[in-house]
Amino acid sequence: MQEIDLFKQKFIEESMENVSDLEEALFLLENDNTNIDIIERIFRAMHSLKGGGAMFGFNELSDFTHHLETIYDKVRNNLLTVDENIISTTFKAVDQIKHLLNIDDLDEDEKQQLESFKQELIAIVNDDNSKEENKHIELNKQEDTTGVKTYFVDFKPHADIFANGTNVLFLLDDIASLGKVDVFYDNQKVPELSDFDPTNCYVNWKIVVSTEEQLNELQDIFIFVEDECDLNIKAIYNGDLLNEDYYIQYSKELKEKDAVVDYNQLKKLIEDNKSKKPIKTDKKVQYLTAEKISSIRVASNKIDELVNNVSELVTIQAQLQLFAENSEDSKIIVLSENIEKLTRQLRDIAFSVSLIPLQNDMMRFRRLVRDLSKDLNKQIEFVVEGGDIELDKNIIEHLGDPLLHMIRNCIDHGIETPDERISKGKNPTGTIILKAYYQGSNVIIKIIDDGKGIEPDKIFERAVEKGIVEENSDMSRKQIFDLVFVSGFSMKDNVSEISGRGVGMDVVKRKINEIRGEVSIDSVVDEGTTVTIELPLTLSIIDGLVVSVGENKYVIPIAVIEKLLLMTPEINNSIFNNVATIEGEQLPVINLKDVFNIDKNENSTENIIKVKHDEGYVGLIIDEIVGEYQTVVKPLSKVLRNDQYGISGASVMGDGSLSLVLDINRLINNNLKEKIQK
Amino acid sequence: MNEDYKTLISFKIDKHTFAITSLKVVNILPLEDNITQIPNNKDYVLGMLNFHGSIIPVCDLRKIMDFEERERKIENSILIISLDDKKESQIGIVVDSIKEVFDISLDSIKPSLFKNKLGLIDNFAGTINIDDDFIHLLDVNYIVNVIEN
Repeated sequence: MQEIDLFKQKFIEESMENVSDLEEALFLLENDNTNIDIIERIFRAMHSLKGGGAMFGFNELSDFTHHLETIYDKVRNNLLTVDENIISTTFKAVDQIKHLLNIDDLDEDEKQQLESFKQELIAIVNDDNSKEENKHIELNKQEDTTGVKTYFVDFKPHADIFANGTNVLFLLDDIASLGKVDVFYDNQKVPELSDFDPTNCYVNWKIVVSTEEQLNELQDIFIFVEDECDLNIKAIYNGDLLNEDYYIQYSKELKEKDAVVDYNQLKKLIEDNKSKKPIKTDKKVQYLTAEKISSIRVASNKIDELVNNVSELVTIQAQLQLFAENSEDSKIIVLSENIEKLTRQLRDIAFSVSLIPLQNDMMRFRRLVRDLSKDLNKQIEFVVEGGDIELDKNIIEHLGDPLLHMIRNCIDHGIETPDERISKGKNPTGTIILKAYYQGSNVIIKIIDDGKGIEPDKIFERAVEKGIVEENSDMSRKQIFDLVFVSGFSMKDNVSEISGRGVGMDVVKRKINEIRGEVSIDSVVDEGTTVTIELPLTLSIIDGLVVSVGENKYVIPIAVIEKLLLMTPEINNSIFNNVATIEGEQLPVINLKDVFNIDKNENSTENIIKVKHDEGYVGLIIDEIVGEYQTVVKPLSKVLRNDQYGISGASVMGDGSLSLVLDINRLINNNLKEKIQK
Repeated sequence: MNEDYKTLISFKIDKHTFAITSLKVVNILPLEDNITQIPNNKDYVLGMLNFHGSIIPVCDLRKIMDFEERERKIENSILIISLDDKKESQIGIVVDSIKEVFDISLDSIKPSLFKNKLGLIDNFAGTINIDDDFIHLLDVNYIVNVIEN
């Protein structure tokens, strides 16, 4: 790959981020169409798209974005008001931008489309020209349009200000929360240590603050300390002084000299510069102020590599630990312990690096809800809760499509039309909630809609019709809802071009199972449907209990284990038809030796592991419990994987031997039902 | 290297000598107690092996080719083959013994003499005759395909 291509690739990646930022801001703008911060954000995103586009030869993109930017430049300067039309057009434009980023060359058709789209944009810009002129006159009277003003705060606390429990630093924080601040402190009055009384305040502050808030907001901060300080707040500048080059320079010089800003001096400085500069301040400066680097971009395969290597390290560390424990040398034991500690930390960091917040993926759902609900004339509010929950990026990658599919289902079939909803006495606007939260070592994601729901009886009827279940089968509510995920099931009378409820739900389940997740559904007619997805936090490491069955060792995730029981002759005798009676309670049991076709040895000790399964418990009969380990789960290739028996992965033990990681849910589903039916 | 030549690794299964291209062979390991059995799998899958941190299946080529079972010997070897240098696609195959690594010109490869299938394998890439000894060429992609399905 040529170097320029590499940069292009980077640019596309970055632009995609800009685009999703843009989309996000548009949604905010839709609800709050005068918020200057949001408009600035949109403008900034467009500006970087335009600039980058021109630099890397995406001329069409650059040109197109330029027109879009013009609209928002006008909005920004109050020459244009944001309306429905502008927002819709911008959404369409965002799609166009995505398209332009994804393809190299446009064909003739697309070029024409682009051209007409451009005209549309230009039309918007010109449309409000008349309005513009009026406003222009108005605006020229003001120095700045953003409403930012700069104040000079002279704050001299009395020496006894601490006496009533005031923390002056909190006051400064409060000021900082209003806008941008530049704080100078005057510590000349601080005495020698011998004369220093820690209960007294010796410091004065002078603060230059630029904010959109009014003067009284600033004064309110000091409302409780008015009697304990000398306070003087004056407006000093119309606009954002802290962004003016001359001020930045001035402030820097002062700070180097440890000097304090002086009101009169500052006023004079501003007057001097005002005459030099045009009245209108150049807001471009604002975009140039570099933000603090709080994150860096790293190629995702590097992270994969890091995680892989750390996994290796964990394994090798376990070997070292085993070796050290067997040796008598105290030095090596200490070393091993230190390495263990470091490895653990390193592992935690490496895994946290590969976690990304769920919300990165949420934006497209928001978009989907917006577009689809408009198409279908439905009013839907999409609420995301817990978008900051972090998941392994591999999981998130696999999660996108199933979620999309299910949300589409909600919009298409779940939520009713406004009229229907009103006749049912519901709020005409339907709600879809996407909710994520932690539960133990799992993440739960719920998609909740308040639509029409599905009746279990209907599902059952349908399944009988389709020949999936026998007419006279006795099924629990949960089992009936699980039928939705059976391949070939669909609620036929609901099929539409967007999605058919049930169609593809088997694919959803399969995809989620692929990432070791589980999915279930519950619904109440006219109240709504809830789809619950349960996912492991990361794909590659689990806390597991190592047990032996025959010659092999198996890892059972600790998270599912409820209790460990010793197999007593009493329990053994109580087992009838694969159900054991333990302490008066019945527990379905599975003997793993039966499952894995291992000869039973009369002499071996047996244990029962009581694990959670669905709403109840199941006992797994195993030989011996080896111990609890943190295990790195390695995926098994196609040849080795065996879903039927829940063999989902393998793990390298401390002594270098391998053990199989069991997917308990599958193991039980595939082996328990079968036996009970027999 | 001349394009008309191919480097092959030859190995014995029963009385026959087979060969595969050396480019797809990642490593050769002795067959020791390094294999962990997996329950309920196909009978030619001997188990799994920890190879440089990735877990790969090990299959018995004797069983795949439907030869009689025989006792393990010290010459038994595991050929680790990889299709695209991807770790996921690595597979270990157990052979009776490794014979040699040799270069062969492409035009000395003649159509295969095997007309019938050997167990699951019914596709041979060719036969080479060296000093009245027949070496049967196997296509690695084909073998992996057979094993996976």
